[in-house]
Amino acid sequence: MAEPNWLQHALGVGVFEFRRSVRAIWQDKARAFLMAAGLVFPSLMLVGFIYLFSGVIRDIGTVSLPPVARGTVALLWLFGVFIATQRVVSARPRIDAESLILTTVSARTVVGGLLVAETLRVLAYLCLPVSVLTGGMVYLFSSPASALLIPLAAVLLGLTAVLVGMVLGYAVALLIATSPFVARHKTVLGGVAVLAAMGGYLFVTLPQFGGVGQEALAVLPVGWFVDLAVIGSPIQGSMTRAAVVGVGSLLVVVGGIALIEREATRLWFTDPVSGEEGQKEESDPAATTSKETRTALADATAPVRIPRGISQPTRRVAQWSILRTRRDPRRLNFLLLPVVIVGSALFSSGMQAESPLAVFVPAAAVLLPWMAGATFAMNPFGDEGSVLPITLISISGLAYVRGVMLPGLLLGLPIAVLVTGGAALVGPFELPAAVGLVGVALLATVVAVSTAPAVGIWFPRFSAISIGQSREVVPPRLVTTAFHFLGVTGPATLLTLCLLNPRFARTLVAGIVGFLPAALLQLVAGEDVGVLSDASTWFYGIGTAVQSVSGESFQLVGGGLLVVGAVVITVLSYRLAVRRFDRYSPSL
Amino acid sequence: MPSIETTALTKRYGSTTAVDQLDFSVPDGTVYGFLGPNGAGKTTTMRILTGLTTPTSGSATVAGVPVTNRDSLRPHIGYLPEEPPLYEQATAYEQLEYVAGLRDLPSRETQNRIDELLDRLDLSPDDAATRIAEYSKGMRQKVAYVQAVLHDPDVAFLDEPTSGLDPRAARTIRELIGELSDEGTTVFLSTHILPVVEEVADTVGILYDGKLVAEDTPDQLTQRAETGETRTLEDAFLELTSTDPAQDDTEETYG
Repeated sequence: MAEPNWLQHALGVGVFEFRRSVRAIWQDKARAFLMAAGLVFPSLMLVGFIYLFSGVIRDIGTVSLPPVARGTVALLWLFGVFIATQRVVSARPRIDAESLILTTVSARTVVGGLLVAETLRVLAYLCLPVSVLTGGMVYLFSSPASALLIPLAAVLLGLTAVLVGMVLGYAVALLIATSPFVARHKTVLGGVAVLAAMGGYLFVTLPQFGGVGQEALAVLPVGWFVDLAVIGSPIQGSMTRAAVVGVGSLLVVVGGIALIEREATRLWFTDPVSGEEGQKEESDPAATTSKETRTALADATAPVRIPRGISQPTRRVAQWSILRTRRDPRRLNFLLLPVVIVGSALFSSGMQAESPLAVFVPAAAVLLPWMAGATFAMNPFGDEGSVLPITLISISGLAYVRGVMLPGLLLGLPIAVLVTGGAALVGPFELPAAVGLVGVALLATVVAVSTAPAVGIWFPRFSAISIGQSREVVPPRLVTTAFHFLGVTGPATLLTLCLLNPRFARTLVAGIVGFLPAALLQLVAGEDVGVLSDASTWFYGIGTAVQSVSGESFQLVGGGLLVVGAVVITVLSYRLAVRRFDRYSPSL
Repeated sequence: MPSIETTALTKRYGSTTAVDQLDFSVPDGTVYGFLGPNGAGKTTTMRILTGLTTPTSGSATVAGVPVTNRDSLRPHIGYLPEEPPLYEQATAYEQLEYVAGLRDLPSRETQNRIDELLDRLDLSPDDAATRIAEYSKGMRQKVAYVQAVLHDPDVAFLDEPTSGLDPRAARTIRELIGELSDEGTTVFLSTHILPVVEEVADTVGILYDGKLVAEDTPDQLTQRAETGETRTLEDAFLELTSTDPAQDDTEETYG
């Protein structure tokens, strides 16, 4: 039973939670800027499209709604469900200030509040593009119904996707909380689920490679929100389908809330099982006890072994870095953004290339090293958290920085080198090119591993983001991650191009350092003859000079400079990180 | 009618028994000092009594309501856990008004009560309008305390309420606990600061290894049964929670 005013309280909880999210985003200005840019840019594109093609669109007249439109909306809805599920499982299985909220209001109120908050978050993302779309439809077709029905369809789409995602998310979270097997293998199972979802996405979106195409999803009622949205416009949908999604949404809301309330109540008031429960019972208690007292860290990080020759302080820092990453893989969420953005682009171009390995191998030589560096050492001070003052007075900067670099070298380096080398030998590469790619992977890994702690220690992030209940999860700053990513993958890509296609690398460099700035300066200068025009001519000269170098010479000189630069950066980063550690004074 | 009553209350986590056959009752409007070493089961007991977790066996009522009936229990209780449950992004005013709203408290009276309590605890309006993320541990503790008693609960569960407070604020909290009790609120107080218990508690229960090993008034607990000489509550606590086999004798003396 919920309290009498539960609906009103749920709205209060939802609005309060939403405000907290907005404040948290606003505190990280770079993140807020990127999110705003991600909303404004496509909306402006849409405005431009509507403005430019308004005449053509009006002339088309009445058309029937194509199945691909329903399929696209269905895909969008499924994506929303995936995100909502993932957020519940990894970020919000339990609530903030749980002891306060659960002794103040009913579980139904909390569930309603979380649903309101999550829907508001979705609508905040959809608000601008949906407003532009609505305005565009009203402007193009003088259709007042669109002003009501497009936002309504968007709200229903967001609300139902969030609801279904929450139902699935709480079911998974409950499984993790009650099944020792699932708790123990949640990282692997989660990875399989994400891969399955990505596979499903590719199966639907890549008909040219055996997929079904988005229009196949048009049969799903979740794509019929578009039928509701186009009522009153010259685009003719199906009234029956519109009615089905309208009524169906109501049923989903009522049934979904009831279901989530049951799941969440069980989850919040159940004592969660530990993934280590079964394992402890299986081992010999006497042996474990005597062993754990002496080599607990080494046992916990097995099968990874840190060589005994390394000093004990460095070894301990390395072991703890590995253990922290293994026990709390959620801290690696920040790796997903660049991997997904670059990975999806690479996947598309790889699938369209003559041999996918021609794209994937160089990509592995560039991306795996970055991951090797970023996985363990992108925010060492933030990872230390409240222990940082103790760490600072317990160990030298030299030992500490070596310790946080070590996991990347011990684990990341072999993976980057073996994957790149193995795939290069199988792929369309001559032996010298394959060896060169392995060399790139090797060098890039060393650079990535040494620059990550330097960047992370100079620009630490201490404030936690809400990932589950753990206040220890402190991802690196978005700007730091982007800086490290571009700083490692940019030069590594250029070195790879120098190796595989020096002429293209030469043209690229000539464009970046010469022709592009020359063109921009000339654009600003216009017809005027002056400093800007002179600068433009100077840059153009540089571009021409670079372009005049032969491919072989460019490969030798450009590649050589990049290698020397990498060595210098590695040494400098290492020394900077050590110095910063030794002189660091934590704020109160 | 007792405000809190437990009968054979037991909580097990796998093979570990956190709370073992707990029987006690706390009369209305009194302060019950709940003591025990770390890991004795105090927090688990409080979580059961506040409905946050369910007992494995046995039963308990708070303000006459079974603790398993969470919806009926909520209006009667206030809870200050050891870690103050606050939202970093909110100010104290925002947090307290939010919680008051969730409890349907009348806004004018609540506003006055918030101001009065914050003033008693030396939290200025400027402090209260500052984000909680910028608070010291003591300031957080003060806001969490106000939050727990804002709605004038029948039973207040306070876990280490004076933790992190300066002596002045700690004294104020002790006075406020006394006033709460005078106004009819039953206070279930868990703390390691024994002088606090000695000063404010009417009855003290000592939990050890999930079992209630002693329960009496502070005066009686500090009195040696055999010789009649007095000792400090700390001495009594250490004796009762010692791993020494001799504790079996003390259990008989005080149990």
